[in-house]
Order: sequence, then C-alpha cells, then structure tokens
Amino acid sequence: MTTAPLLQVRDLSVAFRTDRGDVEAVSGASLTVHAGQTVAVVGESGSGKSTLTAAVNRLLAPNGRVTQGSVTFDGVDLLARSERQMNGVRGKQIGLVPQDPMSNLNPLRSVGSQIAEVFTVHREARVREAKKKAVELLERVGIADAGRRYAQYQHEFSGGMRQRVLIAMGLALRPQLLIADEPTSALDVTVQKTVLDQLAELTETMGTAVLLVTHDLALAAERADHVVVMRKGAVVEEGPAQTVLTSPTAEYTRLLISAAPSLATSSMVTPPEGTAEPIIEVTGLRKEYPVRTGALGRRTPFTAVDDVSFTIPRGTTVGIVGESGSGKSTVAKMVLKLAEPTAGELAFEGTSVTGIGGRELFAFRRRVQPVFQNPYAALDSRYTVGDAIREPLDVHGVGTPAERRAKVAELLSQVALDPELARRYPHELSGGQRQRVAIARALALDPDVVVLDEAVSALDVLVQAQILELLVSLQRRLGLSYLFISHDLAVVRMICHVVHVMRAGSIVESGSPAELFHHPTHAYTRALLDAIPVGEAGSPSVVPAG
Amino acid sequence: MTITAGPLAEAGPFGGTALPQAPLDDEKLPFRARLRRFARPQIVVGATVVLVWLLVIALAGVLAPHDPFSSSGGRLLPPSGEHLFGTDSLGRDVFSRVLHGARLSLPIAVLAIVLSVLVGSLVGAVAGFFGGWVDAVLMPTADITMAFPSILLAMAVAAALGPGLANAFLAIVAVWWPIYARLVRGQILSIKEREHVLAARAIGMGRWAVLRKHVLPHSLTPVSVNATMDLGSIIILVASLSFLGLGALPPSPEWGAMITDGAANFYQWWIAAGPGIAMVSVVLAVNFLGDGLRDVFDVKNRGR
Repeated sequence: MTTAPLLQVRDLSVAFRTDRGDVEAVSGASLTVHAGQTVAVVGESGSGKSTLTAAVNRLLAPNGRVTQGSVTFDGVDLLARSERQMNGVRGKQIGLVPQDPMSNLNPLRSVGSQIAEVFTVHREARVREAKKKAVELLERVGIADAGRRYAQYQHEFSGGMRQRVLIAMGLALRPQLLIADEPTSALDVTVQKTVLDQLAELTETMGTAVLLVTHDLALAAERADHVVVMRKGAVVEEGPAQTVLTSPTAEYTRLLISAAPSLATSSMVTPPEGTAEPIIEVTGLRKEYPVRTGALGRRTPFTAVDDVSFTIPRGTTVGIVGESGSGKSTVAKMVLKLAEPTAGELAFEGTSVTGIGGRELFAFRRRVQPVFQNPYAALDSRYTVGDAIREPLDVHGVGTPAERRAKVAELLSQVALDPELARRYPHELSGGQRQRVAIARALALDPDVVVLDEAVSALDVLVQAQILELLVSLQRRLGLSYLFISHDLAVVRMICHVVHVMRAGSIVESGSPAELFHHPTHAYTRALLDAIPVGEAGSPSVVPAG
Repeated sequence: MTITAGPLAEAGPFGGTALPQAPLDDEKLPFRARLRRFARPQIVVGATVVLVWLLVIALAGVLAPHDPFSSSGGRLLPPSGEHLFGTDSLGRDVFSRVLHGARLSLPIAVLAIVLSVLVGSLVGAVAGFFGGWVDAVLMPTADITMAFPSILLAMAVAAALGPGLANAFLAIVAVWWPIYARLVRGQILSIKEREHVLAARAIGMGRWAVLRKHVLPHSLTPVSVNATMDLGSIIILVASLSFLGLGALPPSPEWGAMITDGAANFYQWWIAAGPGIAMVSVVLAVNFLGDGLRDVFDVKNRGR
C-alpha cells in the first residue's frame, strides 16, 4: 500500500504510577493500520495489548501516561491534542467496542436511546432523527424487530445482542477506525462467530479499519489481515496473518501456537485398558430452581438440568461441554453434593449417596473434591497457601500437626510448586500458580474423584497447557477420576476419555472425543465445532504443533 | 524471565515459580510504602488530635491545674491565665473538668461503638449467612429499630432504665446496633457467593466454621471504617442524653452534663463553650480519620 497509513503508533511507551513506583505496561511498541484494514493485537493477559489501544484514543486510567513515542491518526498527532479535541475524535473518527457487554451499557436507560445519544453528542442529528438512525443501526447489526427493541433495557438483551448493540454504538458515526477490545471473549463460541461475522460484514461495507485486541491467536488469524503479537509490553512479532500463523519467527509466537488447543491437537490421554467399574453413576438427574416471573412474582420452576445420566469409570476423565446456561455447572455442583437434585440418583462406588447428610456426607466429601474456575476467587485471600492446603486436613483431623505440614510440602511439590510458596498469600501468586494451589488443596484428602469446573478457562493459553499436562500426569500417578466441565471443545478433546455435550439442561450427544469431533450426529454439536476459530476460514486446522 | 521449556513438557520440578509474576497486592508492600499510603492530611490531623486526647485521658490528673470537683477561687470567673475556660457557678475550674470529662465521655462512646459493632455484626452475619426464617425475624427487628429517630429511642430506653451513664450507654447500643447489622448483612450476602466459600463447604467444613473463618473476616474492613466515622455521632449522642438529664448525673464532669450546666448560666458562655470546643475537636478528628481510612481502603481510590 502506498497511501499514508490511517493509524501509526511509533515507539510508544506507557507507564502506570503505582505505590511501588512506575510500572511500564507498554515499552516501545509500534504498529500501523491502513485504511480499511483489520489489524489484530494478540497477547496474554498483562501483555499490554489493551493499554496500547487505550493509549490510541487516550482513554488510559488516570494513573497511566505516555512516556515516549507518537500516535498519528489520519495525519494528526493525537498525543498533542487537547482533551476537548479528543472528544471530537472519539466516537466520530475512532469508534470503540469495549470488552464486557455486561457492564458497558447503562442499565437505567433504554438500549436504543444510548445509540441515539452517539448522534446527538456529536451533533450529527437531532433527537427524532437520531432515533430513526439508531433503529436502522439495530437492524444493521442483525437485531430483529428493531423498532420495539429500541425501547427495551439491557437486561432484556442476551450477551450476544448486547455486544451487537455496542458494535452499533461503535460504528454509529461511520468512524475510520474501530477499536474492538476482546469484543467476543465473554460470549459463547457459537454467538462469538455470528457477532464476528456481523462485525466483519459491517466494517467491510463501511470501509472501516479495525484494531482487534484478542488473546486468541487462531481468532486473530481468522479475522485479521495483519497480526501483531505482544508480550510484556513489547511487540515480539508482526506480519500478515497467515505468515505469522504458519511460519512464525519469534520463539514466543511458536509457543503460543503450539500451546493453543485446537481440534487438530492430539489427545493427551490414552484410553484405559479394559473396562473399569464406574466410580460415579448418575441417573435421571434433574434440578429445578424456583424463579419469580410476571408482575405478581409467581414462582414457576425453571429446569436447569433435565434427566441427565452418565457414569465416570474409575481412572478416566469424563467431559461435559456446553455453552453458558446449559446446566453443566449445576451438574458439577450436584455431583459434589453442593446442590441437592430435585430428582434422580447419584451413586458413589455403587452405593447411593442421594440425600445423605451428617457423617456420611462428611465421609463423601473426602472422596470427591472440586477445583473451580476462578483461581482468584477460589482461594481465601486472607489465608496463606500453606494454610489453604492444610485446611482440609484440619477439618478432617488427618494426622498430627507435623504430619500435616509435611503433607502440605509434599502436595506442593506434587503440583510442581516450590514448597517455599506455602508461606505466601494467594495475591502474591500468578493465575497458574493459584490454580496449582487449588489442585493441591483438592488432592490433600487423597480423593478418588476431582470435579474440575472450568478449571483452566480463566488461564492464559501457555499456563493452560501446563495445568492440563499436570492434570494428566496426576491422573496417571494417582489413578484419579475427573469430571471435566468446560465450554471449550478443543480442551475437552485433549483431556477427556468420554464427552457429553449438554444443551439447555440435557445431554444431546455422547461419545469418545474422536467419534464426537469427527462424526458429530447432533446438529448442535456440529454448530459448536463449526464456530471454533481455526486460523483461516476454511482451513481445517491451525498448524501442526512443533 | 523466559519460557524455555516446551509448553506441553512437564514444567520442571518447580516450574510454577517460572510463571509470570502476578502484580503484588498492597499487603506485601514494604512497611514504609504501606505507611506512606496513610500519609494523608486528614489522617495525620485526625490521628494527632485523637492521640492528644488519649494522652489527656491517661494524664488528666496530672494535666488538670485544679480539682474538678471543688471550688478553686471565685464563681463564674471569665477565662484567664489561671482558669483557661473560666469557672462555673460553683467556682470549679472548667478546663480541669473538661480534661477529667474526657475520661467519661470518650471511653463510653468507644465502648458503645464496640458493643454495637459486636451485636450488629453477629446479627447481620447470622441473618445474611443463614437467610430463611432467621433473616426474616432478625432484619425486620433491625429495620423497626432504625425507623425511630435515634435520639427519641435512646431517650425512651434511657428513661425506662433510669438516669446514669451506664444506662445511657445501654440505650445507645440499643439504638445503634441495627446500622452494623444492615451493613454486615449486605457484605455477607455478596461474600457468601464467592467460590472460596463453596470450596470450604466442599471439604466438609461446618456452616458456622465457614462463617467464622471464611466469610465474616472479609466484611470487617468497611465495618471498622464506618465505626470510626460513627464515633463522632455517638459522642454527641452521649452528651445529648446527659444534656437532657438522662445520662451522667451531677457533679460528674461529663461534657453533655457540663453543657447543661452552662445553659443555666447563659451570659457566662465559657461554661458551655469549654466542653463544646472539646467535643467539636474530637468529633472532627474522628471524622477526618474515618474519611481518610475509607479513602485508603477503597480500592477505587488507589493510585491517585
């Protein structure tokens, strides 16, 4: 391209003032976006990718500041502009689609009026005309019955529809550049696909350039022309999407690509020899929650889980995949006996444990342990790592104090952590370290079954790969059985022996990962598989690992 | 820090330590940096004044130039070098009485706050954590109590129990606990949904133990900040009850009682002004302190 670039970021550094002095979040990053081009910025959490884009339209947190470099947009130095001049740029020339559709709309105002506001703020239209334009925009982002939807509030919209509304707001004034910061990370995979399709179609017809921020390299490669890989505030690699993906030059990019689970990644587990007896048996499990509906608040039962049956053979991993609201976490809670089923049977080692309490339940807790999704929330911030791991031993009165201390050290090394970490607090650890601590705690009582509820979903892809590897090796060594709950089919494929696909409370399809992912029979399973970003539309896989 | 091993390779014997370091939280800051966060003008001024009053409480006997209970010269003398705040209708030195009064007014207020916090937190924690009928019984009780103007209710309780500083103290606790019950209940409702609470239940821990070990401690920061800010109101409430004749009885140098005494001698303004100034200084100081502490603990204010 010979024309001047639309956006040119040169040698940009951003620092945040903290109690511990300045912390540099972006150091000397450069990138270029040409008109109409889609450029993806890829990186793990803490890589500075969001900070970089926030610096472009000057929306850094109050303690952040640009320490060097320049941002030139459409021939103008944005860093030299006054705050007032920037207000004219934001929304009008540079649109923004924020990350979280749940918190970025005002719950007290109708969704439509918030889109119309974009026009009136920039004096592009009067109120009446703005409303008309907002309705048009809602239609264009694929919201049916837009006239009626205009007057509704955000709680009447699903996550995917809210994200479409935010896209409509970002594109309202036909900006030359749209910054989309993880626009679909909070959405289910099938919804993600339709939202991204819509976004691509709109920006193409409008000729809008897109700066797409994402942690998902495959998604970036599928959606962008040009990919910029960031790590620790610096750009480690950039180039045309396909080149970066197929022949990466930076070691870090290669690691990212090989660690990213895809449907082409080979399974990490070997099928068990012979047939093991089931350690957990679930039959006809059903869970209803009372929900208040209507103006009178009448209680009508909502069925979260409906007639779910499966077994977990000893020493194997059984996966449950499904999107949010499919009831998969409710199943996990019932297997853990943290929620009582409305109907159905739960048997442990052939004995029914439905409705047990007191001493029997206490004994059951020793055998079945959970690891939850969020390694930040699952550990009590006021307890040291050692105390957190020792707590189950204390509660169950296992061993003498000295033996418990020894056990804590042993557990820490079992999950590949330095036993010295026992004295630290959870906030001093990284996400992956915390999840290892949560696993060590779950293993403290030598359980037979570990229920992993989205246990790797919140982790960066490299860390996720390490934790999966740890889980597999623990299973081999200790003969553990796992119930593995996830929304991520690629991860489930890597670690599970048997997979059940859940939708709206029921299991719609079951089978081994190989059968299920190569010959799906149910339409929903196929839709799930189709929605996974694979690098480039049409290409069957990312790249062979290695 | 570089990642050298292949991602799917076993992450070394202690591979976890090679992971990216999460940003440290404030609790791990060096002591000096932690201390610097408290170096706000409000906190420094508030803490200094509170410290001065603590010294007064400890050393009132030494600091007071005269006997607070007997005449030390003429009656109704205006402020002078000899009598800083003048003398009252019985010829007692007002300044000495204010210093001795601090020993009554301030400990009573602090004790009243502490007991209110204990009662309120317990009620709020139990109501919030167990919910159901426990909540349905306890919280309306708190709400009804809060619906009365606090001074009226405190007067009613004090009148029923009879005058005296101890009864005034009980009256204040009876009025004040619902504030903390509400506050703690709200905190508990959100804390009990956190995953670490579920994790504690999953290891077989009893519900009381979960509440005590993993829920209640997390609700204490806002409670302690609120308690500091309420201390000013409580000091005024103690004085108000004494002023109305329902608290400390003469010849006690309690500040409210002294103001009552001053009200009878309208043209000798210094009799009421002495304890009044003392009270204003304490109330302002604890409010500064409370505001400052809230700003320090409020995560949203970090980095400013």
